Amino acid sequence: MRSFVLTYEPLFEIICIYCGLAFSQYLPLRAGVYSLATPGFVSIGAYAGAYAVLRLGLGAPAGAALATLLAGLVGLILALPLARLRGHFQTIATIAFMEIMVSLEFYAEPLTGGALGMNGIPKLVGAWQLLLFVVVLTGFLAVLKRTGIGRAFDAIRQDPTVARSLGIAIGRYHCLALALSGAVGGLSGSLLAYDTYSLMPDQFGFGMLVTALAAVILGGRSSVAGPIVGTIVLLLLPEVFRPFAEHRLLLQGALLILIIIYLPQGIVDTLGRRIGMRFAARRRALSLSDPRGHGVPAP
Amino acid sequence: MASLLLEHVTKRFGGVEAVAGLSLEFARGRVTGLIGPNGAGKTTVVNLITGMTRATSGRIVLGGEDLTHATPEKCARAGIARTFQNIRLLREASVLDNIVIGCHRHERTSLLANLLGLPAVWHERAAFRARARALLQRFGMTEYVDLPAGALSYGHQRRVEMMRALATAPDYLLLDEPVAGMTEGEAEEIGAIVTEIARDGVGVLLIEHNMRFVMEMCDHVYVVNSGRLIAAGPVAAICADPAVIDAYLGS
Repeated sequence: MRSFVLTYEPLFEIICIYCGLAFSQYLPLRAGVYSLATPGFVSIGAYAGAYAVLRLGLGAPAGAALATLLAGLVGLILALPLARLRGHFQTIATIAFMEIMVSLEFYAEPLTGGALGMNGIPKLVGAWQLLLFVVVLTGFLAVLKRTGIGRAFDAIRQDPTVARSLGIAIGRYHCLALALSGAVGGLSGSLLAYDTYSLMPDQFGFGMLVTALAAVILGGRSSVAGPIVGTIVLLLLPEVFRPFAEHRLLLQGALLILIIIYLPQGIVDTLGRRIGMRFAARRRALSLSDPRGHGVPAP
Repeated sequence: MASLLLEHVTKRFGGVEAVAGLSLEFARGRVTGLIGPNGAGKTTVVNLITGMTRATSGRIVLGGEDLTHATPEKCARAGIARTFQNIRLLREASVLDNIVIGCHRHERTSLLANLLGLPAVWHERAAFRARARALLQRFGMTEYVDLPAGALSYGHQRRVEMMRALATAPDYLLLDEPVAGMTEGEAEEIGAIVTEIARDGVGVLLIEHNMRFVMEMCDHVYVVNSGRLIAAGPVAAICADPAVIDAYLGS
């Protein structure tokens, strides 16, 4: 048992951190912003967190707070130019942002250690802290979904014209979504730094982006549980397929394609909707069979 | 009461004058019809009033407030609500959520309160949901409350769109073909509700091709053709106007 825990603890920790990344990616998509800036935010948070601990001598909580604030602020600033763009152009602009951040981290040697990276970061977080992080973040997003902010995000994502016709100021909510995406990404980044001892600029590139984005698409873009399920599936697959040795990547890819074909809204959203429809249909059947029900029969 | 005025409003799309020097007046508590053949510029008028397109010239005034260059969100906050000719619902969201989103204009809690999930936010949410349920009751659709809006029949989707507009508690409600594709019976139900809404003091602008519906509903009718006003007056006078018969009702 003990060896099992020791073997899988690092995997568990990485899954928790990637849940944060997936949430950072989920937030703007939910609000209809086509942002792929998450790896950029994560890198800002990771370097800020590491810098705070190694050079400023701060503790992990202060470092994480600094990382959260800084990346959130960058998200807010990034929202200003993005407001002038729509759809795919936002995607391209945010990919550029991600690449710019990677380049900056290569060149800003005094701050980031350049290509050699930042090493010797003490391990400041363990499985329990990371689990707490995921639980608190999930709670926060579950609450957010049910408030006026969540409602506005939903309306903007599904039909911006309707949202505006109802008095929703889209720009304001896009700023909020990017600031939140930045803050969540920054916090996840600082935890990544405190969990993995060293940072390199090129770990915050396309690979990270694809994982975060795939987790959201795979799990579901609407429900809060979606990104978590997506992250778990995505990071467990390589472990599950380990016995297949050289066919591992092939099988993993095939499974992803099958999920996307048969569960197009993501695992959680597709299944959730099917169950929801069934319940609603049953309730309706009950209310129609009720002789006092004054509902209009379905055509 | 504050009336909604269009003063010599013109809208050009390239070389086409969709609306040409139109002057209209809408009053609260009345149902005003806007009719005309296809392409007459009726929907453009709705888009102009709701800020979705900007007038090339002229003025749009609500009460003392100039809305000529206002954004859609400002028009909505000024108390103008609309439905769309081609139904636009949030298809993934439930019927209830579709109506609750209409209450956005009445949100009083701050962004920070929402982020922190303070109790005031939950009170507000409960109040909005109660309002949405009351509307569902009024439209006789309570049993559809949890269904995704996209799963509803066409007639029911139209009603949900109307409920969403009403949830904004508007002073003016612009209905773009609210009974298109509905049966006589369904149209009568909608008609009764529209009459009630107007009696509550809302100014209703009704665009509709169903002439029987227009005749039954409207206190006053404007007839447009090629963006120009060709007749205005009570229903009876309009039906007798030779210009209208020529342009619209046909022989």
